Amino acid sequence: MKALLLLGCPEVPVQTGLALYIGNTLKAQGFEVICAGTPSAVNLMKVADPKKAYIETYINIDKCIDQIAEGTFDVDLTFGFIHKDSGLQYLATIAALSRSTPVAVVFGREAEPLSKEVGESLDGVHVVWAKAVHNPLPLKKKLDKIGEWATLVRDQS
Amino acid sequence: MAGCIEQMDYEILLKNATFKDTLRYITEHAAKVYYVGPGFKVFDRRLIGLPPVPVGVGPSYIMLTYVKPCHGSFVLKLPRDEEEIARIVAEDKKYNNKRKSKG
Repeated sequence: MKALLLLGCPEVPVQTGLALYIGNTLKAQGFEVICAGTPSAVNLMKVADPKKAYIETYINIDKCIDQIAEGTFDVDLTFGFIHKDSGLQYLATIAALSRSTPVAVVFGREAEPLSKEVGESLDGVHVVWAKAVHNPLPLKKKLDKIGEWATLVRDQS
Repeated sequence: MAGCIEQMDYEILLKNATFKDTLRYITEHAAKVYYVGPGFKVFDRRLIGLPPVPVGVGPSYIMLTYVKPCHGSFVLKLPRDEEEIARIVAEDKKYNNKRKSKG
């Protein structure tokens, strides 16, 4: 199975740490992990993971959406890292084009209202949120409760 | 800006907004509004956003949303292009039929 980590603007510190943590968990559970995002967000990941221990494949965010829209690429889970409205819009776009289950990882100072909006806007989305800006542990605890990520995959065929 | 839009003579009508703001702006300011699905290409650029995504059309312009990950949503006004408008109108019809059939 494949999972896509869709990174938003990296201005909130917890994003990179959480993305690497989720990448590690997914990889340990047998997922192929692909990461897409803005150049800065992706570069933060690459610098933190030079040996590609957590994330093996990176893809340009526009190219990623292009390929999903054209049906040449798809995944089973899409993790949208959301701390502002634009993050929701990107995840909504992938959710409309892909067969994958959308998972919204919502953080930042506006996490609570944003998580409600995400939940109300996207069908079948799994939302994990915490008002985390510098400290990723509240979100890590919630992510750990999920256990096996494969159970969220809607199309197991 | 990337793709063809970058090289066009565009005007920014709204910037650093939420997607809902851009939806409201286009609905209130465009002469006619069509709705398409996210990922639909206008001027070779895929539209991003919660469906349905609005595209405004007027006598001399096409008005669309442009979402940037770090800077929020924008409304851009681009010169009217008949070929693009024909595609937008056809997609609006197709998209509405799809939504109706889903109930």
